[in-house]
Amino acid sequence: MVTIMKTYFIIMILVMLIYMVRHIVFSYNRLYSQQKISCRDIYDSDLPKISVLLPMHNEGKVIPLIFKSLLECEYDPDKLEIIAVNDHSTDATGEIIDHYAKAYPIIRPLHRLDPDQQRGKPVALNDAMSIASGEIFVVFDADYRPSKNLLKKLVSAFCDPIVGVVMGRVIPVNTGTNLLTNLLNLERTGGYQVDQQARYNLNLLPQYGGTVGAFRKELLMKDGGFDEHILAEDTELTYRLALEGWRVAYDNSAECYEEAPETWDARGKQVRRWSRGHNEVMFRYLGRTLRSQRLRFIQKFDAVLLLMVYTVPFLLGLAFLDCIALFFLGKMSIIAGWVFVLFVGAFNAWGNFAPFYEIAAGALLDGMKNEILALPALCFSFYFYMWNISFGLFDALIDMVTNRRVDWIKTDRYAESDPDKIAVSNGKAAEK
Amino acid sequence: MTFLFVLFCITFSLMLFPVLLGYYSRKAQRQEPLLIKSDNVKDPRYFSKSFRRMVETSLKDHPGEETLHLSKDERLLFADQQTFTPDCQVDSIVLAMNAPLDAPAGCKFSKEIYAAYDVRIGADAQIRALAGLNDVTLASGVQFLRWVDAESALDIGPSCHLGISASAGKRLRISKSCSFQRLYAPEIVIGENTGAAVGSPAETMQKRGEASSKLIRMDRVPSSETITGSVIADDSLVLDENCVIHGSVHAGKRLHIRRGAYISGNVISDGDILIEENVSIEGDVFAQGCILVGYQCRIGSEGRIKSIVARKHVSLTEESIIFGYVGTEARGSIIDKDEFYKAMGSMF
Repeated sequence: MVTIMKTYFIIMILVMLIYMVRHIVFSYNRLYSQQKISCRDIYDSDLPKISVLLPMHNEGKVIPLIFKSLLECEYDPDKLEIIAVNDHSTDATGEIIDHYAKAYPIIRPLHRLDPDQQRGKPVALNDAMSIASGEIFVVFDADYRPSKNLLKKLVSAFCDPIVGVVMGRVIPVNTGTNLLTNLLNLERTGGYQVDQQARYNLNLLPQYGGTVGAFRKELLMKDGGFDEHILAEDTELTYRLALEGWRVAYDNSAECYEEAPETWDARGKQVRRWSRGHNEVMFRYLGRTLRSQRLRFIQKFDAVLLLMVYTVPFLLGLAFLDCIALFFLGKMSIIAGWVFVLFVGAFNAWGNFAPFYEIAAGALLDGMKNEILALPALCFSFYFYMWNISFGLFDALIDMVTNRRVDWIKTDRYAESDPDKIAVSNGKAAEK
Repeated sequence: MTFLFVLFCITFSLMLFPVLLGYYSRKAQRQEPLLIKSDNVKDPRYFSKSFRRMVETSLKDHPGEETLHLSKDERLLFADQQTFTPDCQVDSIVLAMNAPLDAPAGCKFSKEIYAAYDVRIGADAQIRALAGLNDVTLASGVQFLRWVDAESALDIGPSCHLGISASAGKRLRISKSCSFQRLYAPEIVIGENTGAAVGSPAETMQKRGEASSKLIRMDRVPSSETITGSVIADDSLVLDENCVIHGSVHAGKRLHIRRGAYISGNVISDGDILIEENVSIEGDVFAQGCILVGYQCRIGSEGRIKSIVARKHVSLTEESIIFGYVGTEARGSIIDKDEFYKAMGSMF
């Protein structure tokens, strides 16, 4: 038993070292290597017709903001339609959509109200896609505020015939609300400014995040749309298309504000849902990724590491307990010999230096000064995530074993529809 | 037991310390979201339009003044009442409101020029920026520090250095040995001849077929082959002479398009792109490396805007025509046939 415990501990140290090296490579790439340019610099008078899909459930607080932003976007109105899906809302969402649809013909309402219908984002998107006429589908969550040139930037990526899906950058608008939103701002900076862009630079697999992104209609429709039994339809799409030989593009300049969760409870639920969905995708695609003929070895290796990101925290938690047990059993003789080096490296990898590399590099690139002061507090969110992600993994395991139906849980919204709030916020940032 | 309690307290404190440090540090400073310029809209003639707007607003608000109120107050020189001598030095913003502007050879304008009528700039002049509301003609060796824009036609003599951006509302002709970073016009003619031999629109239309979204993986398209669908190569790709692609092209490494080829869609490469003579591409050309365009090539088609964009060097050879935009993060240059063959030899 002790041998198993020791072996497990050493394996986890090695796994964490691999992740640490990955973080260092990505950070180095962003800070010192040549960056890939995106197709956003292309001027093309023949951009395709697009459908913007807005799946919404009880989004009355934020709908006017996203409609206002989308209607101000620079895109040929003859080649743009907005499909607003009211997915079993019990607030004023349906009425607000109808009000806007009357005033602006490019907004097409789709009400999903039949109580026998399954609800959730993938189902709502599938229904929207079935009536959409665009060649490219762009998806936003209702709490997002696209800037004027965002649609053009995203759609330009499809000039490349091998690009099947494109992802833009998400920036929290309510970063100053509390410690949680501060930390989320830092995480987003590390995740997008460094991690996603580095993966794009290195021809690895940037991830489509389900919002502020776009994909080709034909690729989805030939397979019957999104899988309605999966929570992480975005991750599933990323892997589905990558394994078919399509490329996921990332445009760091296609920036969009989002509203980050403001309570630990909401964030915990969100992370648990992500973990559940991501692990479902991991169960489904791990074998296929390893067997893929389309991906090169290094792409395959990184794709597997990405698939495991919501599994590793639980395995790491076990390694902590394992470590404590070995210590009290008097079997932790790793201080002597080469294992010590690994031990120190791994300790720094989990919860300490690993995310720091990317976040610090991202903060440097973004010119953050005040925001970076919250960095040490990430130590807490690391344990918080480990806890919630582990529950998400259990949920996914139970889903797989029992084949139970997955219910969508919506993240709470906080903003009232007050565009001035953003304007004021932008003004302050500009002055700064 | 005491030992364990002390150990627990130390561990707990060590874990709590960074959280408290982060919490109190952030409270001391107000956090703001990263700024997204929400109103930002891409425009290849942005510099000129922005400058013209500022000048026209200032002139309207403060008529008759000899100072222009831009981001700071700038002295004005009214060119209609002025004759410039060769090699003169002008340190004010120049306004030519009522007559064409003629600047003799060797003049140095350290500020912007705003001209309501035609502009002719003599050889080897140096100018910060120029906004012309009609035609602009540049003699040889003119150097721009920032940008030049003509509302109608921009005619650029040999060996000019065009700063960050050169653009025109209708037509831009650029001569040999010029260097640039961005060019924009609905029609960009490279060199003295407009290229009678450049694949004519009629010929292009004949070749134009039904584009397809089908992906075909291959690393060489044989000569005179016609393919319907997009051609994809994970590594290098060669399109042999006179082949016809009804779709787009993507190469994972370098891409070589040999003479007489026709592509109805976009041409994308993660490496360099070499386009030989008499090639016609109806879509955009985009490379993470360099782009070398041979003579008598046609990129885009009349009435539509298309782009050539490269992270590294862009070289365009005389007698080619481009409809739209050329941009590079490095430098662009105009070369002749001899230089083209030399560059082709060193590139591949």
